[in-house]
Amino acid sequence: MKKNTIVEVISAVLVFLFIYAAVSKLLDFDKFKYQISQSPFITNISRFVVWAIPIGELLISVALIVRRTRSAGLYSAFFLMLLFTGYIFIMLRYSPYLPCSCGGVLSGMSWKQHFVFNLAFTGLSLSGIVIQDMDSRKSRGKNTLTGMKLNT
Amino acid sequence: MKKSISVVVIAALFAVVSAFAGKVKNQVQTWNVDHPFQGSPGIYFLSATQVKMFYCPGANNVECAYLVGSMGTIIKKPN
Repeated sequence: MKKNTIVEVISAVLVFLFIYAAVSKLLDFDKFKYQISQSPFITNISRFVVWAIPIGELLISVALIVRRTRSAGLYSAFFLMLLFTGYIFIMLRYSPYLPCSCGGVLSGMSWKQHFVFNLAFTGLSLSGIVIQDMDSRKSRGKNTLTGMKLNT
Repeated sequence: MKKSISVVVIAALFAVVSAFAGKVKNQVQTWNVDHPFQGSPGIYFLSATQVKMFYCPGANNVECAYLVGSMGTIIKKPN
């Protein structure tokens, strides 16, 4: 399979995840707002977080869809997934109680399952970055060689 | 030049459709449960998934409940 195709498939999976999660949150916005406000570590910034998360997810999806910004989209997806995974880790370890703040099918998962799920998607976005980077380095190398041939 | 639709765009469309479908599935509505497996027949204000799970579990063979205001929307249970 071509590296480009692998990056395309990884981007598609991430886009599905982010758009599904964002739209589910926006469709059930009141529930999501309530759940976020119940979260012990982000209660003070919950007003900002309730909008920032779905909007951020949609923006990253757009970046992943557009070919020119795909690389930036993959980096953003990786950092967002890392942030979510870190949040779940802190919640599991240090929070006195565990509220739910997930949308759609994802709400059926336990916090531990969600942690593993997020970890897998963090790994997926990281592998997307690595493959994309390898591919662009290879094509840059090819261009340099072509340029050298043309110059001689 | 002929351009094919990217798999990423298709994934985005699927995600939107799935999220809306999930919302409809989990929406709380008024159901008339005629022949429940357990509990008594009557009007229940639940989501379709909850009605199926609590009152009409199993294969879809005979009518068990219908959506009040829309007789065409029915939930079935085994014989």
